[in-house]
Amino acid sequence: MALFDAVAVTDSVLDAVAGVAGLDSPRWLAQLLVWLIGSVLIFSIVLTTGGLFTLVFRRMFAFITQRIGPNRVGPFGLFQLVADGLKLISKEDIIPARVDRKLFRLAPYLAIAPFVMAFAPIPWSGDLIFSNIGAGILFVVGISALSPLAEITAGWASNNKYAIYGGVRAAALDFSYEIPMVLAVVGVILLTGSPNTNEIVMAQRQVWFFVPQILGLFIFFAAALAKAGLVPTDLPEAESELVAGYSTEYSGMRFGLFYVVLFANILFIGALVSTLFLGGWLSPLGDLHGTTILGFGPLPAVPVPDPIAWILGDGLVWFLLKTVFVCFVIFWLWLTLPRVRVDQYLNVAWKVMFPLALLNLVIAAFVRWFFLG
Amino acid sequence: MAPALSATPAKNGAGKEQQFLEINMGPQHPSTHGVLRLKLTLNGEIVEDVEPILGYLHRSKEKLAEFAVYLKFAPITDRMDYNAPGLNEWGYILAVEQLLDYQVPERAEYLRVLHGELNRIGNHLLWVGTMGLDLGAISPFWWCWRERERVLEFLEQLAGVRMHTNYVRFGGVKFDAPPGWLKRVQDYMAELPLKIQELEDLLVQNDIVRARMIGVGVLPKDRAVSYGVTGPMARASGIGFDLRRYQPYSVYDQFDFDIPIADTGDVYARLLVRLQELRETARIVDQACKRIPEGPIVDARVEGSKQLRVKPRKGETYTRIESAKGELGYYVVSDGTMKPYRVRIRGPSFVNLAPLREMCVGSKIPDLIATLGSIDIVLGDVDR
Amino acid sequence: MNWLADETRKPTDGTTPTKPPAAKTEGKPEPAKQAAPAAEPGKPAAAAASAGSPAAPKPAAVPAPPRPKTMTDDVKALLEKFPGAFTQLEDTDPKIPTLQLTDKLLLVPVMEFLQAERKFEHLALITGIDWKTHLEAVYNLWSYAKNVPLEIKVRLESKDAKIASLTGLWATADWHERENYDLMGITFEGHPNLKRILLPDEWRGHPLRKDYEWKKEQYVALDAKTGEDHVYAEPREGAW
Repeated sequence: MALFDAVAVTDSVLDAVAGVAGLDSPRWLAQLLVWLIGSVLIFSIVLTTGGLFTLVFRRMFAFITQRIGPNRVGPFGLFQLVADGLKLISKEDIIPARVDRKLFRLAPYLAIAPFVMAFAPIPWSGDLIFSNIGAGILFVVGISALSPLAEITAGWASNNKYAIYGGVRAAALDFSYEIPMVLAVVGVILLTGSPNTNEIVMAQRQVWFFVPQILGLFIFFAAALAKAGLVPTDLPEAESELVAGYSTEYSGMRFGLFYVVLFANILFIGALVSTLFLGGWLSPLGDLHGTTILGFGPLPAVPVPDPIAWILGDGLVWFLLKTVFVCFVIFWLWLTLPRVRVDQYLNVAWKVMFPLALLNLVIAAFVRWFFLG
Repeated sequence: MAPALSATPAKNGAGKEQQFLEINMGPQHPSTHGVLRLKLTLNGEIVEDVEPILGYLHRSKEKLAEFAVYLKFAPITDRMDYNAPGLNEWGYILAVEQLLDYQVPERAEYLRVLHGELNRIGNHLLWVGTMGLDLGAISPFWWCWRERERVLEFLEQLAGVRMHTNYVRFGGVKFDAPPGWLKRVQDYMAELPLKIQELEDLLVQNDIVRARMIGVGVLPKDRAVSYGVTGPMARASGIGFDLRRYQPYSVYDQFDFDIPIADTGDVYARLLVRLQELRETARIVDQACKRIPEGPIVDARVEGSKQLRVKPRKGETYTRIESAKGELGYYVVSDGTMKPYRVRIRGPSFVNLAPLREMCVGSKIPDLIATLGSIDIVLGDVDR
Repeated sequence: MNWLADETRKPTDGTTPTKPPAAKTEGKPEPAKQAAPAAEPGKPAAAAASAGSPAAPKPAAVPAPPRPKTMTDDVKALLEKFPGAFTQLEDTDPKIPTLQLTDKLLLVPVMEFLQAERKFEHLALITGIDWKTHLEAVYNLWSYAKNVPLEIKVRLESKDAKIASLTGLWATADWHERENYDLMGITFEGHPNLKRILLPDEWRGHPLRKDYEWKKEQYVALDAKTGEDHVYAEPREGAW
């Protein structure tokens, strides 16, 4: 399946436009336009989904606790996030007197920038990927390793002891769980043979990677939750202990950015888990054109009309379904489990997760050697 | 002069002396259950010293008592332990009744028991919810509040007000149970154990809860006795004393209930003890609803406005009841007039808060939060 | 029958039966029977007999008329061990024997004796009372082992109210004494940390005294830099 070549399409559109005046549009213009529009698109999708998830979370929370949740503002309360956003934007921008002003202002952007960048190599569908770089998943992991920087900056700049506690805890957790997470990812790369995200997805045609790498899935999931600061490991932001951790002194839209980043992080983890372990945009029914599954097949090609094939077969719909499923599980955990204790969880990272991740690597190598030749 | 710290700061790699971090928790904080200020001295995440600073909710109730007639102080006592207000006023009325000669009719006694035990259920439900919240589990809070809402509805039907009911009077109670109320309460007591089971399923067997609660905030039995700790916190440390069983007041000697006792004295034990006490309290309420006799609800000699002109004989008494938090005692000094000479209140939360330093020094901040939550303090009771 | 040991937890005091009413109604001779081998002579059996039969639907808290000085085992032991140091008082609460300690220097030995030998493990309350001519400190003790109370009163001077601290014996005395110092002005000698507990440290006066000028206001302000409270006699300008 050929990737959607946005640059070529834009180039031909621009050529058509410029051809009216008899000119030829340069390729770099098309490239620039694609980058700009694509960036804005990804940025808006990420932030909007983050906002939407706040609403989804509130409705789920209400459902679990026998309440209703926001349902007044717009159909099903969908415009609640708009209302919340407007409220946060319209608040007074309070910067406390003795903070480090430059760092205080910088921290929310440090939180959001690498995070949005990490969305770039994720394949939304067979032909929809923003940047198909060769080092796909390594880029994602590397860029998201910058997230503790934002938390520490926010904690330090706030000139508040609670914030420093939040920042230090965030740093400790993020660094500790970086390693098991990366090792779990390396297991997947071993099975694929390349860190390119599209190839990872396509390598799961036979069997989705959560089957040979079930251990890797759990390690990755737990480590990603720890890095994102989500319950049961939301220690940097442990509300009952540290008020609001590193974002204690933030108010208005600056706080809104941290908050939205938290929820968009959920989307990010969902997308990563489904790409790496759940088969990305692959459909469990195959592409309905005669594939093999687990060595069985080829399955008979199913004669279905194209729109249905588009839904039931490989593609965007399945990617979204899987991502949403993982996000649902994350919300479920958030609403059910209490918080772990800092030192206990750091112990778990180094004494349990790290050895298990190494074991997982050995299993991956084994699987690669035996089954994939 | 604060007591000496348990450890001295170490020198860091460059040979410079490190400092302990002094941080203030409260008086405004999501987890201190009111306006309690804790001065923490921290070594990283380890708590080196905790100094509770009280008085942010001090309303000088003991002084107020000297200015009002006896009945008018009763609503003020309501507002001490505002999680279970009915028990405070019952204790006060009981104390003053020791100096009076009124006889409380049996129906009134049963109504007092129902009123008090419903308050106790409300308090324990609130505690379970906020304990979960302190640990980070946000769902049980709402379930507990839903059940507490039912209890408050019953209290509203009985006394006209959800909280601070001002229901107990000298020689009886103010209102009779409305028709059908006893049956409704009895039906609810059949439902409540199922809800308690849900809470237990979520909290008690959860590995994270166990890791956070077992071995945390331990108060051994001898220290608990020395600190005068009473109530569920003492029973979790192994002191098997419940005033309702061993110094029964009112009609408690007619009920069949067990007293949950644990041995370990940690936060987990307190959780188990309180959850079980919820069940036992439901049993008491159930039995009370069944056995309540017909009859008057207040001693005829002190009906109506005679309540305001009550004149206890000259003397002193120390009377204590088992309130939701522990032993609530009133030392009432009467000089024969219509106003008390001195009322001294032994608030259980005040006494139970004292061992906080001993329980928390050497543990970590999350443990401090869990321990503080498990003591079940309410600042109205601490500061009065 | 010690609560602190894990044995059966039934009291031997005859006035506190633990059976449900069915047994109680026919058990009129029971409390008297139980009281006979009980350790406490006199008072509990008499109370059970005069407080009405258990068969009548009366609550246990019916107040008996004031009784003259009751004599329990503990009172006897105290009077023997510390002759001349006590006056027995008429007790207005029939359940609590009350003694007044006339020699306040003996407070700590008396309390030690009560805690160690007579098994009064629980210090329930320390109360300060201002009788206008003098102050009084009241110690309410309770024995878990025997399930009986005891009250010791000590008379103090109004101007210079000093008494020994019991923090060495009971850890709970710490905060009770601080509260009595704070609100009543009784100084407890030997207390490791005798400072105000409910009021700000700089408060002037002891509110629960009868001669306290409660109409005079004092103003509390928070120091912006240190977060500590300061007390002033007049309201201050500026940030409150």
